[in-house]
Amino acid sequence: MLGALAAAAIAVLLVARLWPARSPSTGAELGATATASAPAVRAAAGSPASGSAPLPSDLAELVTYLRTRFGKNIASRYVQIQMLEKLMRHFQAKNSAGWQAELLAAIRAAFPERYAEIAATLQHRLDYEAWLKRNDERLRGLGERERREALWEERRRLFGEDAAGEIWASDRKGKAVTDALAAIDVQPDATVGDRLAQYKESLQETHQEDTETFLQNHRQEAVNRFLALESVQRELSSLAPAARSAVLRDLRKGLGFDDAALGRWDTLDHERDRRWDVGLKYMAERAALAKQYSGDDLEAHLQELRARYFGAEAATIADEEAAGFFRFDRPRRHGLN
Amino acid sequence: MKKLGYALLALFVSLFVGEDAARAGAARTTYPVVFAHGMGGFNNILGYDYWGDDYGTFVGDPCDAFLEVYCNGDLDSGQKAYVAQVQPFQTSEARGLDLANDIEGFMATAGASRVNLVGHSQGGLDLRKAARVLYERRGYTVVSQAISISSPHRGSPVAKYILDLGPGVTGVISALASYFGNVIYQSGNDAFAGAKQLVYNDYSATDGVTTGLRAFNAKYPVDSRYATRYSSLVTAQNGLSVNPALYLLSSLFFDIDGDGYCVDDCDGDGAGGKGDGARNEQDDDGLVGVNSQQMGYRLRYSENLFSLDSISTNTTLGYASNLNAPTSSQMTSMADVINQDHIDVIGVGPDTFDEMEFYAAIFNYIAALD
Repeated sequence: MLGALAAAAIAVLLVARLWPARSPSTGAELGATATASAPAVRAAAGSPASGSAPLPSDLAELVTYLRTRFGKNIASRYVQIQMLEKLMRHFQAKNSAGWQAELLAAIRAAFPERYAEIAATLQHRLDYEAWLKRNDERLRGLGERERREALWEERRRLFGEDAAGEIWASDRKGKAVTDALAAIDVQPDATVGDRLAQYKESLQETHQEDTETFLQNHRQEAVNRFLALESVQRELSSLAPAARSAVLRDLRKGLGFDDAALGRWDTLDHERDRRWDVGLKYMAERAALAKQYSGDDLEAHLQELRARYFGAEAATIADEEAAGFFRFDRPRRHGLN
Repeated sequence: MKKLGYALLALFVSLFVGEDAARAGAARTTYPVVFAHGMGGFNNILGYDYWGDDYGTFVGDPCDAFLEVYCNGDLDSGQKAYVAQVQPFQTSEARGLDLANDIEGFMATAGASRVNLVGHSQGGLDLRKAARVLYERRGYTVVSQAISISSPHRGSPVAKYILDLGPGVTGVISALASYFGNVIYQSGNDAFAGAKQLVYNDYSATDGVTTGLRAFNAKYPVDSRYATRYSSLVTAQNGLSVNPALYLLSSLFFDIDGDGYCVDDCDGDGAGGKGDGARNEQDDDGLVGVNSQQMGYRLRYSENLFSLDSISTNTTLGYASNLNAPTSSQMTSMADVINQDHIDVIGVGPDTFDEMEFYAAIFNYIAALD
């Protein structure tokens, strides 16, 4: 029994290996375009998708592609939407008047057991697009929160609560953490440590078992958004340099930075402290020169001053000033600049 | 029996590993890819409403878990990408420095020695400054591939129209937010400075400073010391497919004529080059003319239903190395212009543009070169 099972599994494996779902494109200069393998097309053409009659070869090719590409996750409404938009683009270019019928025929052939559900998803998707276009001006006139509420209300109305939540799950997660950060920022009397604990809780609540994967992919974005909070910057600015470095290190460690990354950040933090120290001294000397000189005389002195303070970056600083930008007049944001 | 069990387990694992590998259409880049957003930016924590598909899933996240769906299935599972964030409304002097600082921080976190940059709209200008700052700080070429998408390298006539308070414009900030990006309220925003940045010439001779892209391009040029290679994706669209706000702008108030050639801004519309006399055609993406968008090589985007979309280099048009003096064909050719408006390519939908495959194709293109 197990031997037969193993043999069947090996056969499946071989088939999967011989029929690549997606052929990697190679050669950027050539822009080579791979196509579905011929054996896959022939096999699909010879084996009806849902009934007994063989499918036309182009539809069979499409059915094979759809099943291979989307079949594994076709129960997901989000995946259904991804597939539908791909097909809409394809069939709308091919047949602008009758695209919908052709698209539905492909869906029926590829996923007969889910045809009704996917067809309904398509209709909701089209209704949602039409609603967005009709309401574009009104939505633009709303505040961020009101706009978001209006969008969700319509999504729920058209797709249903569960399906809308599934389709826009990423959007919802991102907004949830944004809202949490806004609330954390206005907490009175909280320390950076308190705020970090709340932030980690909100990440955990939002991403649940995927939190570590999320942080692995976006540790830097996650720490940056936290450091951008005004409340966090206020506290960091109030600390002595050594204490600030320690808080920054704890904060990064709390978000999972490893020792090597923490070491690199220690170096960068010190380098940035040095840059700001130099920059503020330069600005003070610059202001003094501006009181003494003007016109070409001033520029000559400034050129010498910039070369002395900034070395390789002197020309860039001069270019910035010509455009009215003074980088050291901007606020220091610890951990960010 | 036990051995057979292990064999079956191994088979199961290899089967699904094999499936994932087959799905990963794009090769992995050597260096991480950093995304630089345009004017406005995003409210969402990680910018997924900017660099995401129409449903908020980030285009640079590979699928690393079995049956994971909120990810880009066309990326290599080890692909690294980073979403940079800069001041929403500011000059590219300020935003480019922000970007350099942000990249520096990302490199410390990731342990990366170099990066690739992909910038949309003003992000394509910012990345040129960031590349120069990083070169000067590190003493080597930090940026490998610099790619702009829909960027106004030679200005946007709409920016000048807004600054001039043309018909329909009641306020610079609200107009910029309506057309170029979301209203992101943040201290340090300067919408006027941001708009002046997007005009080709110095906007005001009396404000004591030199603004505009002509000066910016001279300071932050296409230069192999700063980035190994520069290239650009050019967009244009006309008609009802255009985003409603941009469509209303072009049909009621101001439609760019952006496919003519001349040296500098000879017709005074705020962008380099001139028009060909026909406004109502596919010569701009609602905000930027075709003649403003090429930096370095122009790239060709090819959609393929059954395999990964591809990006390749249009070598016929040549390398636009002097951004203030492109050739006539670099300004006027409609070759490889992507039929999308200015914001379709950043997941403002719903539309049928496949952001996931588009960016996967960009990753794949970069991987062949970086």
